[in-house]
Amino acid sequence: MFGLIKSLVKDHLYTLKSTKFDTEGFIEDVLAKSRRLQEQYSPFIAINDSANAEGAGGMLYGLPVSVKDNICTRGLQTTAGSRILEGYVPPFDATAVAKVRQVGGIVIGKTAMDEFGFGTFATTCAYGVPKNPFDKDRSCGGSSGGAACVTAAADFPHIALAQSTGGSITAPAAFTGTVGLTPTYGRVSRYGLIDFSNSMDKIGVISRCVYDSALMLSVMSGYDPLDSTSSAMPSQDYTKYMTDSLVGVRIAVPREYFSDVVDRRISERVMDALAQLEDCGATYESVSLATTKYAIAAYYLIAVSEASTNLAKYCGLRYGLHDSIDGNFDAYFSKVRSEGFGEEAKRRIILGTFARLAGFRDAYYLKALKVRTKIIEEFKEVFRKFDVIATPSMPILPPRFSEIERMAPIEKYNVDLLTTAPNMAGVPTLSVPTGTVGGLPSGMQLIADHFREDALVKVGSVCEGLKWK
Amino acid sequence: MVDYTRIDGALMDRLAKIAKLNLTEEESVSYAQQLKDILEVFKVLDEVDTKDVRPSFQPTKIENIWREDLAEAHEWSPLESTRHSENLYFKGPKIV
Repeated sequence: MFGLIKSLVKDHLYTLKSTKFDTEGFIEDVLAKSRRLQEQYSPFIAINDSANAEGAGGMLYGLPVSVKDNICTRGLQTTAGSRILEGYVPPFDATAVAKVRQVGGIVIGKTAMDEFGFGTFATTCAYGVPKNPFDKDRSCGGSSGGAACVTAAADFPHIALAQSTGGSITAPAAFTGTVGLTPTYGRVSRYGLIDFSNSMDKIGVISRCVYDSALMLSVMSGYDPLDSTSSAMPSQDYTKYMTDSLVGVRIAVPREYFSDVVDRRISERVMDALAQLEDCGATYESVSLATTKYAIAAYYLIAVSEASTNLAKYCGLRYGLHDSIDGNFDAYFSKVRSEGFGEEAKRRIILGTFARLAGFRDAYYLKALKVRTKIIEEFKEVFRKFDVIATPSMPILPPRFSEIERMAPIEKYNVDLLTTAPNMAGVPTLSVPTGTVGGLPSGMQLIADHFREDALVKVGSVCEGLKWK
Repeated sequence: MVDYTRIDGALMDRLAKIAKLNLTEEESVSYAQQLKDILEVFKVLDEVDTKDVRPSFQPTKIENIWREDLAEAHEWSPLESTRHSENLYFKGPKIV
């Protein structure tokens, strides 16, 4: 029964430490179950048939972990959901993956995603579209759709490594009734992440419960000399912030996130949650985040500008899709790129190239970066008085694939209206389930100040005990 | 903000050339219209007063962390993933 979410991870890890563990038998069983999930919901791009447990005695020893396909995994194909990286097998692990393996995590497979993360519904993946376990005619959300799908549907202990640029963890978490933790920009190393927007990309977690996300963040976070944008702040054990009391916690509720374009039933669930959190000792107050209406435009201009430069390296020369070399460099690179990139990738490259074009750069790209400054300042102002901000995670319930097909590109971009501002500000967010509405999951997004993931774990852990009418 | 009506076939050809993409006529027309639609919505940014506002190229303050300038062993070769190499070099198409 989906929606009655209970973590298996903590019990599993405890059991492994206290009993003899048949590692090979367990992995075989998990891989068999993963293949069945693939037949039902298509959450994977690749299942790791040679999965094994390293790091004996480590804090995640024996835990199955899936990895979004834009995070490099040594010896396991990594495509970022794009044909242009078909066949690319990284000779190294991303730092986040290396840390997980070092403490015993078992990489069971690579999860489906929108090509390079270009999407809100995980429908632009070149290798198959994950189906929502609540209703297979509906989207899992994107771009980390496969990660959320496995997390929601697996009946074995598991945590997913996901990634967000503008909402790619919150959206799929909300659409599948799972927990999605997007850390502060720089909290987790991006070394080995196939970036599309280097100033906004964050590796994070999708899991069944808040404890699991806190546990995985504790493992992955910390400074990495291989990523100059990673933070020097030391990592910590985030699970210690799990609590059942919110006495003294102040929650801001921004009016702009509860506008008419947000499904009223989703907003009501958030207000219901806040009333219950008040019973646990928290206080909440309405505030204004007036720059919210500019977030989508500013976000997309920055994202496509960075994408158009980051994707310049995919040209059939060093990795991924190759062709026989003929003609000059212009003809060869154009041929490979035109064959390898999908429709949305091409659209964003064209849009980003335009935004950075001489003559337009100040009007679009630099203007968006200045608006980002104002958005960050507005968040900072709110966090002088409040510990967290609470909003709906997504403005809609998971849509049908047939509905998504009819949407114009700008209509799809507009669905990101609740997630783009915190993502471009680099502040951490946690999406927690708020039960189901008409049989479909909805979620609440908690936002905290930079490097205050502790506040998210604290409030999020209490949210897990809330009751829904 | 720039007059978005300047988005025409010539501009699309220029963008495609810079971006190294071969667009079909159908793609070019379709992307041009979508670009206009998207930029029309993005004109909302004109409302924001950004005079004397510094651009945020990063969302958080990033400080240099120095290390000793010493060579370190590399565990893998950059040439491992290419079909186009020769004598420890990448082999690419003709430039001139």
